[in-house]
Amino acid sequence: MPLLLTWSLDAAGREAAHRHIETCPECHEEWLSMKDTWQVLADLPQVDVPPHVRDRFLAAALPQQAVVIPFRRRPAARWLAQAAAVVVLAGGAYFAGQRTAPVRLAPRGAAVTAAQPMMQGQPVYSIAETRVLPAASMSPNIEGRPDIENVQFVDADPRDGQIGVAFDVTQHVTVTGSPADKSVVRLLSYVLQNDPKSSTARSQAIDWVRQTYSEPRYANPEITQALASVLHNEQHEGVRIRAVDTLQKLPPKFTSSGDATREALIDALKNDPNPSVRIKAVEALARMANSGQSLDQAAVDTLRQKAAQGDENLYVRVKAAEALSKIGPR
Amino acid sequence: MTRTIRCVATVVALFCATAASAAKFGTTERFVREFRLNTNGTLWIDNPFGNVEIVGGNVANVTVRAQKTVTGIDDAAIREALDQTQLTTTGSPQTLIIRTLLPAARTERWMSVVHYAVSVPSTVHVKISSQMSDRLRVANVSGGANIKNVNGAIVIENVTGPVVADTVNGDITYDPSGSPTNGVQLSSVNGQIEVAVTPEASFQWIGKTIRGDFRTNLPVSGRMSGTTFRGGINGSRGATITTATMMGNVFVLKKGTKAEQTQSVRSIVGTAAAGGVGPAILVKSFHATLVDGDFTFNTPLGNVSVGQVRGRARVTTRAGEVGLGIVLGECTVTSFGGPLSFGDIVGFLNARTSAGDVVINSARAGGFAATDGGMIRVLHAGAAMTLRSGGGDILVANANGSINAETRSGDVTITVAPQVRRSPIYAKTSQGNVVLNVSPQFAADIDATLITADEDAEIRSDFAGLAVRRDQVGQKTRIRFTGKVNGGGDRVELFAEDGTIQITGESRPVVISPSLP
Repeated sequence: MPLLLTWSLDAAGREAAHRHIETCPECHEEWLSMKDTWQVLADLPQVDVPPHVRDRFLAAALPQQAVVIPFRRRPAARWLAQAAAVVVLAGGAYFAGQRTAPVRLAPRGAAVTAAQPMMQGQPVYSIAETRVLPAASMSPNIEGRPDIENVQFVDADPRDGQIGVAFDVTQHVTVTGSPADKSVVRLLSYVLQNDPKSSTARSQAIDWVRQTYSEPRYANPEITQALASVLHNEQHEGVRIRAVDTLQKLPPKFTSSGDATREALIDALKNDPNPSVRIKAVEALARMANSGQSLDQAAVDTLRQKAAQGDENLYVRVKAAEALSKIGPR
Repeated sequence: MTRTIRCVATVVALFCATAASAAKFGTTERFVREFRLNTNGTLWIDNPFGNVEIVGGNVANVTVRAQKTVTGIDDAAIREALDQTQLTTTGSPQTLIIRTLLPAARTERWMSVVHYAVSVPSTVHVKISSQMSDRLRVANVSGGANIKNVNGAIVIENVTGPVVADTVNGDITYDPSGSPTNGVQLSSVNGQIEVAVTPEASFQWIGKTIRGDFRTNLPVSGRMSGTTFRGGINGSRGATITTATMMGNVFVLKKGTKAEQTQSVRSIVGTAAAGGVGPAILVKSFHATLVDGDFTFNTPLGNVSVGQVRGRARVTTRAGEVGLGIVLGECTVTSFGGPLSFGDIVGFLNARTSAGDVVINSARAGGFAATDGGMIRVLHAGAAMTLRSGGGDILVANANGSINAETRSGDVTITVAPQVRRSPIYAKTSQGNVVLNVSPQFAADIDATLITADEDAEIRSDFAGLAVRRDQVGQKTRIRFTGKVNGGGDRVELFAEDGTIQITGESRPVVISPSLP
């Protein structure tokens, strides 16, 4: 682990060590502890040693110098670290020079980053270490609230039923698996609900969810809940419109999923300040009623209220009435 | 002989099968109970599924006749239905509550309905709550009635006390047997309302409808104001009847006459605004594949769909969806609510909606599009366009002229056509991201401003040589990116708050999502 910590292992060694650490709870714990310690050490202030203390120390240490086996610093760590840094810089510079995608200019002076949207089938280039993890081997639980960034979605082969979610945490990670895999679902739910920095990323995530989870075999109440949460909490109207659009396209395979969708739509219809969101919500409820799905009393009451609400947009009122006209015996 | 035997056998088999299926799929239970209720008491019946008929008379007690009918897929389901459809009675001599209890989660295995026929002292007040029924009827009651349901007709006859009836999809019929003496409120979302009174009955009448009409064959006076009528029948004396139906008609009839014998109140009385006669028809939709010439259409409520207009198009609707395929001339569309979609608009486009998305496949001569709330998507802008959204994304996929786009909240994404080397661009979002895609040879004077609370936020640009300035504005950071690219050109002004700004110098296909209809 010290070698891993000091970047003294080659790429294969690092990969092997990481794999072991992930599967071994004891090593995992120790690794976290070492990383924390390393970080704390890095953060400690450097204090000059008072001269008298240094003199005393040297005086005590020097007479024994002859019998002490000299500490020979293993050159590999530093050398490899330097080499890695050179490779990284050279690779980064090479890609920066070759690429045609956007070059990011930092506001405090130009700096090259690897940020670029991933196109389907396009290989991923990154100057960070990249790891590919099969979703099946991961715990579906996401601990804490990791700050994940640069989320991208990959479907290299649409026929193989596998998708990939790539993102940056402390390193660039791609999680691959079936859309039905619990780890993938949890990850997407997390991305939908916990990426406050960029509404674009969330919009892309919603579009991806719509494309992938519209298939009845992938219907999942957790995804529905996540979209409902976006619809309820998101400030960005464009994202909310996307969320309501997607919600109505997801198949109501599970009762709880249908309930969550309905509740989210009712909430949006009642409370969303944007008339377009309300229009889409009422249209979705009308479609649900039309397709034979039952509307509970709360939904009926909300639609009733909307239809009669004099200061509501007339189109919303008419759509509410149309939705109510589809209600049949349950 | 053989033929006779065959016929008899068929009849017997049919009879047996019918009897067997009847025995298997349904059964009925009947109950009769009597309750004491004070003469000024309240009877409340809460029956989700089934008819209720309450008739007042010169009786001392309340007599309830209930018929529980259940159907199921098998005997076990029927037993379960009988078991789980419970009739309960609670309350006191002042308030009697009769309730049909059903499990909260319905099963597909069985169904049950309960019909009530109740006789009450005529002075009591009655309340009925229902979801689905064929009919709820209250008659000969002087204490008033309060009736609410979702589906099914409501009939109120000779009820002289205050009446409140509220249904979603049912029709309401009210016959006070003379002039109404108390306030009456009748409302239906999708049904129609019919009030039948004696020819000399006089009352005040407030009517509201969106899609329907007010019709009567009695002397009426009053005024229309938008979708509301305020006036009266036979001099507007006495109690007030309020009739509100969203989508249905309201009829006030002489007793014994028919709806066909009425005329529209709009054609009789004036409108508040103009002092003239109101429009006889409220709802007007238009659907055509081709209009050979100019097309002008104005409707208070209705959808418009035209495949091709070989002239100018001018459409106005207070609420409705507008879809125009090809318009060879100028195109002006105004909707006070509803999505707008356009195919290929050859002339100048001017499109506004108070709520809803605006989708434009091609605006060859450019134009203006605005929504108070919703997305605006333009696949091809042949000339300068101004786009405004009160909240929602704006996307221009192929801009060949200047673009002036502003949204209160949402992303603005503009892709300038690869052959365009210079063009003024203005893009602003008060909450969201701005993305500008131009060709690497695009020449412009860039002025991009990002105001953000995110310390890591930055303006991304493929073009080098732009000056960056960062300062603090209150709690937020303002990042300003200015300078000339490719020697300078038209002004490109980008502004985003709480998002990012990205300027890319490459031709990149734009993915329209969600996909266009």
